[in-house]
Amino acid sequence: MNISQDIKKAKITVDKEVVKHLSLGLYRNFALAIKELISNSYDAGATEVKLKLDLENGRIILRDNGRGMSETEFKNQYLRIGYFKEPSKDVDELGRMRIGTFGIGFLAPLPYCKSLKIITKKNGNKFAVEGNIKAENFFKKGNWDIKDEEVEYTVYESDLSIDEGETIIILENIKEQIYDELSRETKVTRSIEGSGYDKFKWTLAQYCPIEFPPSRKDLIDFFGIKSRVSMKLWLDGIQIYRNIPLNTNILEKKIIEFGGIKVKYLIMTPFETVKPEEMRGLQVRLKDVAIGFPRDFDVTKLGRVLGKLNQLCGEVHIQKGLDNSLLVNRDSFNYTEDVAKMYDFFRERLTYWNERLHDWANDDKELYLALGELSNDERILDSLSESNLLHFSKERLRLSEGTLRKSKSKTVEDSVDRVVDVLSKKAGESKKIIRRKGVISPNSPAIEINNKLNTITIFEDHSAFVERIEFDRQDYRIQYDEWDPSKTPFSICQLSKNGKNVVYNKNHPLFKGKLNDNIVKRLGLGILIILSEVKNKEDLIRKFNNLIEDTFSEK
Amino acid sequence: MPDPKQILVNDLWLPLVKDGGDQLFPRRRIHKNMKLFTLTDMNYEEIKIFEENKLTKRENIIAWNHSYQQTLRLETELGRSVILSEGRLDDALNEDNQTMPENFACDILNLDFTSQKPINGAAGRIENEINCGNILISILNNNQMNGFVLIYTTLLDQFDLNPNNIEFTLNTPNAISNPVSNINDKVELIKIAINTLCQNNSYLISNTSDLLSDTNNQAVKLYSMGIVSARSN
Repeated sequence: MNISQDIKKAKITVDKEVVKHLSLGLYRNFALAIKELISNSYDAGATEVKLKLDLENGRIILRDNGRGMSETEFKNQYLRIGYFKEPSKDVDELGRMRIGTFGIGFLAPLPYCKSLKIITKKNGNKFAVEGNIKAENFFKKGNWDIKDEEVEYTVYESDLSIDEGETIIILENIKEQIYDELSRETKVTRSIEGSGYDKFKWTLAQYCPIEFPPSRKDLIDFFGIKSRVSMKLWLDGIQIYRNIPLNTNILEKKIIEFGGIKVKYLIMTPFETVKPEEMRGLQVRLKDVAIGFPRDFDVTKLGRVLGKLNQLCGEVHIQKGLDNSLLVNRDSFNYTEDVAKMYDFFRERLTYWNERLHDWANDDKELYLALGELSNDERILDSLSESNLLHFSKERLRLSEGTLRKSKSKTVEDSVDRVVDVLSKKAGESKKIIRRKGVISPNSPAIEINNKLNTITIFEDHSAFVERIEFDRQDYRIQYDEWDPSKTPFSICQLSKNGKNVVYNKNHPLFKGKLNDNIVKRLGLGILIILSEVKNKEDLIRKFNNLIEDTFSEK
Repeated sequence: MPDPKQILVNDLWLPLVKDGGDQLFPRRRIHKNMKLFTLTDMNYEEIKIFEENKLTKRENIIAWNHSYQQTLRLETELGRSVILSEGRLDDALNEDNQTMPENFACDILNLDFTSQKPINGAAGRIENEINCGNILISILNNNQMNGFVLIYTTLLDQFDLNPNNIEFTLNTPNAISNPVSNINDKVELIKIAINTLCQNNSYLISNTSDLLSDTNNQAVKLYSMGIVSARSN
């Protein structure tokens, strides 16, 4: 090997078939072009990739700690466009399957810069190779112009230790449109809010084979392969992780086979619209790299209206069977019988979960209405959520405080009975419901869920369940019962023997009509008390007038 | 064996920079947000520690490294910081006063010449480094900086120091020989030089600390000294 710093020349040679592929419009997106470089780093065994966008100086620098290249590899493989490598059948020493096969990754950023500099040092080698590729010679007036080309390079002793490998790629004189796009501060799409820089970062985090965020241990455990060493990516000094929409819950996770295809997948929901909208649907990955955008597998094209589809997201990792089926644009696979089966399956799963979410939303609404003001007690809501008895937030279901207050006063039903009914329906046989009487502090929760004993205890005498009505400065506790209204003059309500409780007749037709239950309750109780207690005619009229004013004054 | 730079950062530089932050920016209670100029390499421990202690932020850092490759590496490591490289700082500044931008300003000046490898093993190196410090302090003075923390770190080797090579007059005690060959005398001369260059630029020193430690080579010592300095008028 010549180790002098003399400038040498090597030829970029081109497999002409590649030109055909490139003309398909490959690499329309700058972030995806950078993703290609990062994928190359992954294949080179890098555990760390660091990217700097030096827009002020019109440069982008990418550095990885992968194996690097020797002078021979640089000349014979890197500069050989379309150097096809059979998809790897076995994992490398880091437990990874090679991503790249087409040998065109390095071309990807060329449309976006005037020159590309590469400095690479192979591990186990003392020398670094530094080459300059005149990018503008390959892409002219918006079209690829692939031809054999000479590249100047030098070889010199590296300052790294012999066992270290490294590749640094510098895109120099990046085109103005990229500078504008990345530095734009306004909203660039309807969904990813922020600058073009944010969108760039989002795209890298979506496509690159990088780590899940440390907070998502559930995803790391499910998709992680212990024997595989992951790759970390930094952008401008800050580590970035794979995009996962906030607060997503796993609905389903499985490993499944479709003929020769084996996939590991999970479906998630945040129980609200997935944001940004680009993340709605399932992201297919091959060898940990995203294939196209997240997709709904054409569920909506079948004429179905799936209202909750925008609340579903997830990942589908191809584990076996599609290595040779990836189209060169990396957006999709050849449509084989097995691929069709796989698509059918995910269409069915998305449809299923859309319907489940609908059901859950209706059930949750019913539970919130039964809980009334208790739905402000976060302790109860948290324990119901932990037990999977409640999924959606009140806000998401558009239940206002007013609606929840009304729900209690409008219903002529014991609020404990109502909560028990709804919870019994939701919990099924998974939890036993216990009704407990006795005084309990208003500060304690009115409902307690014990997931170990699988019980739900409802404290009937908790102030939250006790319905009260006031008349003439006297407070009455409301109870409900049923009797035939035609067989007694006390057809609407009657007082208990101690005079402290008022019992309303749920069978009375007035409670079944369109009248406001609260008005009926107040008038019924008022008439009962006035007629039984007031003897003086003037007092009688005055009391009736007061009753009417009180009842209709929107108290 | 612990990393010598980590010891320097934790035992000498950090307490000094914290003190400087309190003195120069008493109203900044949570984050001192100081501008840092640092001679550094891929072992940029001082940046991590100063950031962790809320003394500086990445966007307020200018790092200098003499090597093109290391500069590229630092660019990708430090993200939003500015990374400069035009050879060794002492060579670049002593040859051309235009190297630093006219509006150059910083609150922490970390002149760790040991990061600029390979160390120039020739006579006159330390004098050049001190002259370089003098140029930077004059720029800070010209730019009306109210004060700064200056950290100077070098290797004391077999070469004698010659006060005549320093570009400003030093008031050296008679006890110090000329040229200076003894380690203790070299330390004393460096302290006098730093003190003098501050005074010449109208800055008063309020806190001085230093550390002399061994290296793998018995004949070479690692010396680091730092000062907190504020404008005298």
